[in-house]
Amino acid sequence: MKIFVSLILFSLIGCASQKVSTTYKDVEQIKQDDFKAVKQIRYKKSDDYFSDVKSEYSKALNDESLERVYKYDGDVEIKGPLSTITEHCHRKEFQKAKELFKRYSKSHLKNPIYWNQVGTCFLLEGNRRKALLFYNKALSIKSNYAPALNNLGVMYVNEKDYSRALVAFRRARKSSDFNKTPRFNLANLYLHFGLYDRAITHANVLYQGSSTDVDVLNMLGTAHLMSAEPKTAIKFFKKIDSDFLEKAKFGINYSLALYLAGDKEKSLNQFGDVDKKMHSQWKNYYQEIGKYIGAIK
Amino acid sequence: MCKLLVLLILSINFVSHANDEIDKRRLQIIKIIDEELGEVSRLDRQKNGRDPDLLLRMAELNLEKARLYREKENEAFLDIPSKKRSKVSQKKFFSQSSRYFSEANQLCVNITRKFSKYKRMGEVYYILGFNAKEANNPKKAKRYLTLANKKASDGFTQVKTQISLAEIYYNNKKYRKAIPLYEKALSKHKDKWWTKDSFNLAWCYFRSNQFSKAISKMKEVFSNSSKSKYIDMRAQVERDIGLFYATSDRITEGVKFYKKIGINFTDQLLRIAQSLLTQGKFDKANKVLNHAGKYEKRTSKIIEINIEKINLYLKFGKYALHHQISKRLFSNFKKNELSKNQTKTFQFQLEKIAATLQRQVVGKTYRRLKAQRRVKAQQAIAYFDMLAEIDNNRSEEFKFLKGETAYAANFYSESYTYYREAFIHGEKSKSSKFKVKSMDSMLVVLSRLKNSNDKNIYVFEAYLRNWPRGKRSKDIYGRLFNNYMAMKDYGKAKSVLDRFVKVYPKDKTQEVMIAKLMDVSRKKNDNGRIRVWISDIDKGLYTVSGKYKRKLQELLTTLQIEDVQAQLNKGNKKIALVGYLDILNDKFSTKRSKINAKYNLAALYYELNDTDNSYKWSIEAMAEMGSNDVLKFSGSFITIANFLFTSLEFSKSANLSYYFVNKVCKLKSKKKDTAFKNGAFIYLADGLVKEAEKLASLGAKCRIKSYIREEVDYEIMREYFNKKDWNRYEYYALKLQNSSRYYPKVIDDFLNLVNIHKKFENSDKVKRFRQVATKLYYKAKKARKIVSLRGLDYFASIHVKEMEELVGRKNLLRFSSINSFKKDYDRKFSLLQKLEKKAQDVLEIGSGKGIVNAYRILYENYQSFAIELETVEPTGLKKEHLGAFRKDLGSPIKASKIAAATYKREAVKSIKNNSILNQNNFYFQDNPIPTKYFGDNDAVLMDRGGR
Repeated sequence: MKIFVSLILFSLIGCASQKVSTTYKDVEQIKQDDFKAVKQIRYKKSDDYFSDVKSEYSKALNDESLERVYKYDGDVEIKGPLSTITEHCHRKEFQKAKELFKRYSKSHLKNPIYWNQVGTCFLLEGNRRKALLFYNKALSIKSNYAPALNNLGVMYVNEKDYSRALVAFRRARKSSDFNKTPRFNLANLYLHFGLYDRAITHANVLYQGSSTDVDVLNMLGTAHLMSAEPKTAIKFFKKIDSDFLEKAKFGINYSLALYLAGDKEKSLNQFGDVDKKMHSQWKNYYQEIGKYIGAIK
Repeated sequence: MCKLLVLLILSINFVSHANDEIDKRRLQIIKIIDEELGEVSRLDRQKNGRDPDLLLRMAELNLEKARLYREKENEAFLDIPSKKRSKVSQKKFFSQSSRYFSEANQLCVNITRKFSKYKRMGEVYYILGFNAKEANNPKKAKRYLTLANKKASDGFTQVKTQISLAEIYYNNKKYRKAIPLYEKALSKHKDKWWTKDSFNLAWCYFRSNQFSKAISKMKEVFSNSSKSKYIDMRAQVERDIGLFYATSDRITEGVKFYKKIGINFTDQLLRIAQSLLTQGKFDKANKVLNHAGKYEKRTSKIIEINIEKINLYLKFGKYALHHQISKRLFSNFKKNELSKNQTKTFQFQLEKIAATLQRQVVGKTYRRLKAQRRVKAQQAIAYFDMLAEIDNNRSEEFKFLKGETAYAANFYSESYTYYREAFIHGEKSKSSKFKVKSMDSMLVVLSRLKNSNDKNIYVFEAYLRNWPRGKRSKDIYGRLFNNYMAMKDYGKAKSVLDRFVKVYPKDKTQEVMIAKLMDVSRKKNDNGRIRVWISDIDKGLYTVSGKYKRKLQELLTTLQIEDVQAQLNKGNKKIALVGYLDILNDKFSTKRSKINAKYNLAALYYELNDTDNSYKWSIEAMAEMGSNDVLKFSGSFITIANFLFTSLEFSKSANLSYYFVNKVCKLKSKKKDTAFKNGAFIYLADGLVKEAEKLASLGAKCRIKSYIREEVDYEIMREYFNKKDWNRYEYYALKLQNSSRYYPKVIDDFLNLVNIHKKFENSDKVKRFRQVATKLYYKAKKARKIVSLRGLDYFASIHVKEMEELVGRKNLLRFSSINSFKKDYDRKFSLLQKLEKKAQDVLEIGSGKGIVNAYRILYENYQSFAIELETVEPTGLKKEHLGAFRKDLGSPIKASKIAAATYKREAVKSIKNNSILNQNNFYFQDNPIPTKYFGDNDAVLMDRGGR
């Protein structure tokens, strides 16, 4: 894990006016109160989780991450600017998010939640360098701040720098006994490379907290399948809403599990339900499994 | 007047006529004498010189003749002008008379030698005595006359001898010896000379302190003088009797005497006083004069008396009295009652005594006797005061001397006044001798005066009025200036400065004056005035040092900033903001004020969260600031840069950092390194690679630490990779290959370059960069530096590829005939052993991917070897021997299977233990078909830390 930039930070004084004032006329509009120092909103544990999220399919991470909430059409009650910013970022409304950043930066100078969110917004926008700068800013305020570390891991995954991602997720996970997203990402990463034992360990923890999270169920099902336990795998796959099973990510391995468990018919049916619009990486696998189970000739 | 002239002419004729008469008579007498002398000489010759009477007669005749000639010669001698007279030889002039005296004398000497018992020897001695007396030989005269007195046979000769002897005594001031001779002679004989001889006797009495006798004799002489029988000695008596009266304290009687005889007693008393004075009889002289004054009513006479008095007082050091009388005389002078001579005398007196008194004041004698010295000084000053009026030509001098005296007596204030009088006088005069001295003295005395600003100012102004470019002018201007300043008369102080500048346009003293005046304006908060000063200095109206000019600029800056700063300190930031804008719009604002204003505007706009303005003013402030100032305020600039960064104004933030680094380039500071790094990273984050490179180019020049420069170079290189700008990418990779910190990292980049050049079929570069990557890898390995997993994978893959080549060779080997089976088996087994050895090289590299691949190859090849052995039917092997053949191969088959299984376990174990992230991991699954999962798009962003 590499800390890219270490910016020297100073306690900044609050602001109220956003006007560009270069003339007397403009200055007239400035009020004495505009100079009042803005109250700093410092880090509070109570601010560092989402409490009003309703999203069963993403439940395992609902209090930490809204990414899958929006992905799976969950409900979130937005409270305060931080949540609003988060919403804008995940909804790719970056300009709106940036407007809010400009307004709230000075009041959150010492708040890692805020700067992590700025980093995330830039990451989602596709600017990994800016994201990196702000994640590091969050970490400069609170070292081992799990979200920033986790998100660096996500950034490395996106860059296919899995080794660094693994380090980042591990650090994120270790920074707090009860955080879930790094576990989720670790399980996901391990599974991506066939390390099912390790994936099961982390996914099981998540599963214990939420048995409805489709991604957790899928990971557990897939991991057990890798471990040559198709029947156990099927138990988890079955808990996944059928709509999700139409997606390659869920449906192909469920189909394989059914096949390996001896239920060829169901396997073929399930395979047939898989939506053929899928991510390119799944396409070869889809073909392999289809041929193996006899769905594709 | 005409009458007077006629009288005078008549008088002269009369005198001339009288003289002629005398000459005639004298010649007649001489003729008679010569006739008699001829006769007597003839008789003497007849008697052959044996008759002393004839000789005596001849001597008497010669003596008489000599007297007559001497009388004539005397008159002629006195008629010679005094200047010529001194050059005339008396011996020659009086030769005729001397010859007859000598003749008479010789005759008498012959008598005394030849006729010792001559009865008329008294007369002979008388002639000798008389001659000796005439020859001015009083000793000889006395001896002969004494003998004559003894030998005189007749009364007449005795009287003559006594009188002559008395005269000698009288002349020798042996009055007591003269008295009996006079008394005897005058009692017996009364000729015409009686009055004259009695007059001498009176003096002898006087000199012998027999005043009553003296007065009485004088009165007798006066009385007889009126008789024609006697020589008239009244004038002499009138002259001297007063003295006798005065000396005997009988002045009243004397005055009465004078009154009685009807002559001006004052004149007499004055003369007497003079006489007493010469005798050193001060008291008596004083009394005489007092008496004279007492009875005298006429001013002119009183003046004469007083003049005599001051003469007396001067001589006897009676200064108080002298002063008292001088004042009276001065009063007379002012009334124009003194004659020219009297004025002259009076002035002489005054000058003399003033000088004496002044000497005493200045001298050591009275230094300890302060009271006396003070009195003397006051007197001297009073005298000089009078003199100043009496002698108008020297008035300036006397006024100056008053000052000198007062100064010597420590009357500083008075001395100042007197010097000033002298100076004023000198200023009016065209040919002043004391103007300079008076001024110098005033300057000296000023130092003795306290609280004397007025006096100082008067003197300094006077000095500069007269000597605007004098030797001391420079100093005087300064002192005058200071006095006006002390008097708080700043307008005049300014005028002094302006005059000074006219005379000394380049002198730096004006700087001090300006500073003081400006200080006043400063205390009054009269900033407008200070601005005018600074403007005037800028215009060159005043000359100040560069340093001072800079200080003034700073002062103006301070003034301008101060008020605004005060508002800022009070928290009135809105007012301060307007104030700083005012400074920028003020045409009098100094550069520093503007810089300061810009800096503060940057800070205030920063507080307002105004990115544009805080950036704009920061840049403008830095552009005009010196490097040291920029460094001094580096904290603020870096804060603003960070503020811009957190406000997502990336390019502004980076620009500010760039400006900062550029500005403090040559200075030592950690902040410079920080700004350098922040700026570069933010430029890169904002996609401004060129700008990042521009900043990076400052690195070496500005002595940024090398590891920071390399870090920036590395990131720039990575950015060029992302942008697929291969030339720049390659440039930075080559640049960093020599970096001790970054060479292990750029192995990846050289591997990238290998791939890139492969695509472009640049085989030379492929080969070259592969060599570079390999060289760097081994260098890092040797130095135990961390190499990226990708790098490790690459170098492992080389070995894996070699393994695959071995596998290819192995697969090409076929079991042909039973005869060569053993040989074929050994070859294959040997290649398997080589694979194992090669796999060991892969494992040593530490690449997870390499490890899995190596294990896979070993597993596959042992597995396939076992299968091959199980199924092989070499040619030439009889079917009946097939069972035994299989049985023989049982052991190697089993060993190969075990080896394959072992490698599989090792692989799985390595994957698990090392969390090897390799897609080949799936190969070792126990499933009939590898189960896969593609989660690389499913990593989840974490928005909160969680519960």
